[in-house]
Amino acid sequence: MRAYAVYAAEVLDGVRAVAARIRRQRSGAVWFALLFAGTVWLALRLAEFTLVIGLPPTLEITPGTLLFLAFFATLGKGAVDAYHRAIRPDSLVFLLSQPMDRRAVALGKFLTVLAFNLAFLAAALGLAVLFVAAGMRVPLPWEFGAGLVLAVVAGLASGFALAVLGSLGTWRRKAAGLAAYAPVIAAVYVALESSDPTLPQAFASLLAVTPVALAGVLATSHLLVEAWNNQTSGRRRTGEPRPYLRLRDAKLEALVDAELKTMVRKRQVALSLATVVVLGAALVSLYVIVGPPVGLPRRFAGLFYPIVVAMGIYVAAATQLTVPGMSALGKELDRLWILKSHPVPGGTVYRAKTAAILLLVPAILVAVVLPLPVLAGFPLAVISLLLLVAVAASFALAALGVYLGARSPNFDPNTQGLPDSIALYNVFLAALVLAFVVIGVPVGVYQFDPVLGILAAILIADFGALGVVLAAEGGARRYDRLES
Amino acid sequence: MFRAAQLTKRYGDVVAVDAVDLDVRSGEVFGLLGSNGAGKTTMMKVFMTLLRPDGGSATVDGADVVRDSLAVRALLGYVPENPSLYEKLTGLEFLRFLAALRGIPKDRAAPLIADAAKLFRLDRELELEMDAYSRGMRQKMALAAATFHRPKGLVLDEPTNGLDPRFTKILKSYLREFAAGGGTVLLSTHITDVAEAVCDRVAVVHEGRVVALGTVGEVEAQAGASNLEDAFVALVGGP
Repeated sequence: MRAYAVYAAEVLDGVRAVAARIRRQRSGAVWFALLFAGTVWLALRLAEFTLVIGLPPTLEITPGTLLFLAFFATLGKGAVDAYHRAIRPDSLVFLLSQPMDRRAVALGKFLTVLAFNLAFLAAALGLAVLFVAAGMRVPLPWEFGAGLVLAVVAGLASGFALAVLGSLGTWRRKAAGLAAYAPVIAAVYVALESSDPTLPQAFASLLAVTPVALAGVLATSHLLVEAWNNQTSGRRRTGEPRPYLRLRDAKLEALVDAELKTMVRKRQVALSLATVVVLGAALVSLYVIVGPPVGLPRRFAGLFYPIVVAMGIYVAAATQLTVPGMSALGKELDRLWILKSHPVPGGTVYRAKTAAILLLVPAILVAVVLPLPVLAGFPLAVISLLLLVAVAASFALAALGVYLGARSPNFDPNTQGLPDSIALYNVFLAALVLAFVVIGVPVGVYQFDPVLGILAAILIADFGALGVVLAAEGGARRYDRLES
Repeated sequence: MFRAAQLTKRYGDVVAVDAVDLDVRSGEVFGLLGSNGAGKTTMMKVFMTLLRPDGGSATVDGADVVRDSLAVRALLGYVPENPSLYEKLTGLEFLRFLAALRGIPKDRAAPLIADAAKLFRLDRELELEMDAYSRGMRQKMALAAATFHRPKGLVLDEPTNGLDPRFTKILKSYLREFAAGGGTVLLSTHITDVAEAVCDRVAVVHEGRVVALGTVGEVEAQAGASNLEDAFVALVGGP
């Protein structure tokens, strides 16, 4: 009952925040509805197409693989949601000081995360059923739909538990907690992927694993106070403070340094680096598992791995450059008064914010773009082309995030400046279109003339850099007009 | 120093500041007294260039808050009602950051920061990330941040929030010394004792308008009351 009270208040607060944003930007909600339906349609069309032409024989994607991917993706989403909603908020003190069991607090928070995420899944499954009923030839057995729901619930629960365990006070306790939970994830992997189960078997496995994952939420609830205390408490730093970067402009240096120190100490940089490294490792693993794409038609075979790398570039740039760009202003929340009450122009503030975001680009190039082409022995010209289009896409997607974040900053304390789910979805799709153009045009030109392709990539990278400058200037103008 | 002429600020249909005229002289401590939501904070935010006026004008030392906003900010130090800080920076890093934003070279900033830390009893907390600060320590840090660069004017919104009585006393004497040295203080409070103790003049603000203005004695006389608390209640209504 108490968990329900927490859940009801959280959902009411969250729904009102989303409703307020929709009222401010009605066109965003309409776009979201159209794009969401379009994505479901596209996914089904892709499935239909794949069933007809088939995949390379070494690339085996089973329903179990899809369910494991759903579990793994929602694990990440659950961890992020839990961190912002259950571990980080200062307002948690009001709940923790009530005469109620900590399990009720954790459960209420988890139910909120579950409700918002399952709402998306329900919409996606509903649309899928409509499209199949309208004539799409994609088998949609009930075990898959039900398995998808279970995979999402288990993924969110695991993400919640991992967020709490990863926020504990010492590295030893973090490691012990994460190691204790690792068998659950391993069990899901074995049950869905490595044992190559049939769909009913995969469903049965998820039915067994989901209660264990849910038990993980309750088991970690007694650690919530420690996690909250650790994440909201500061440490002593002795010695002379030194800037991470030396710049000629002292104001710019101070602003970049404050951004970087905050990002490093909130472990955002570690998380970002881990994400790009995992992404790069996933691309390399795909190459190691699948090998040369022998089963594909010849004109597709040469493009298969460049497309895989391009997808990696998109995912890395959208999650690590566009999203931070969108939250650049919103994350200032109640402390915006500090910048706005000091004699520093908006242009300098925005140059610093943009520079801090772009510092991750070299990591994307090294961890995501280079490993697979080097391992696969791509020609130097192709590697150069991929590096150039990665730079172009990074600039373009960072510019998109910075521009949108200044145009419509999210000052909602529940998300710490991060865009809400609707805005995030719209932006990911907009970023996909932008990345397709920025990467596709030079790669297309390269097919006809490699030299022209490289030159096109350089030109588009220049345009991307121009986009960053224009976005930062536009952001500065918005910032200067913003009332605090 | 702080001058408003027919200053008006609206939030949608709500008029937060309604055609206010105000002239705060250099070297005085001027208090804005009012109930919650009276318009004090809005007025102060306009002077701090955080809000743009919808009507009339506001200047600080002759500089217009809209046209010369950077010049205005360079003259002032500000403490908001609930100061949120960069929680992952230490106090020392935060003050150095602000010094850099004000264009103060590092060698000049160091003694200024040391003086402010001593004055506001923050010496031991400077090495601590501000996440770990108590409410009172945050308030003291915000006061140090507003004053360390020796501004010409201070805009302080409820500056005694979260401070213990001992430190409230220290702050009161600091404000008197600051004004004696030629500085100007515009402060808001709903604690009449603070206003009586430090303010040369006060303005009672009610529903966005100044309903009484003068020295504490003059305001009491205008309201026909024997102390500021009774005068305040008589002017804004209530029990």
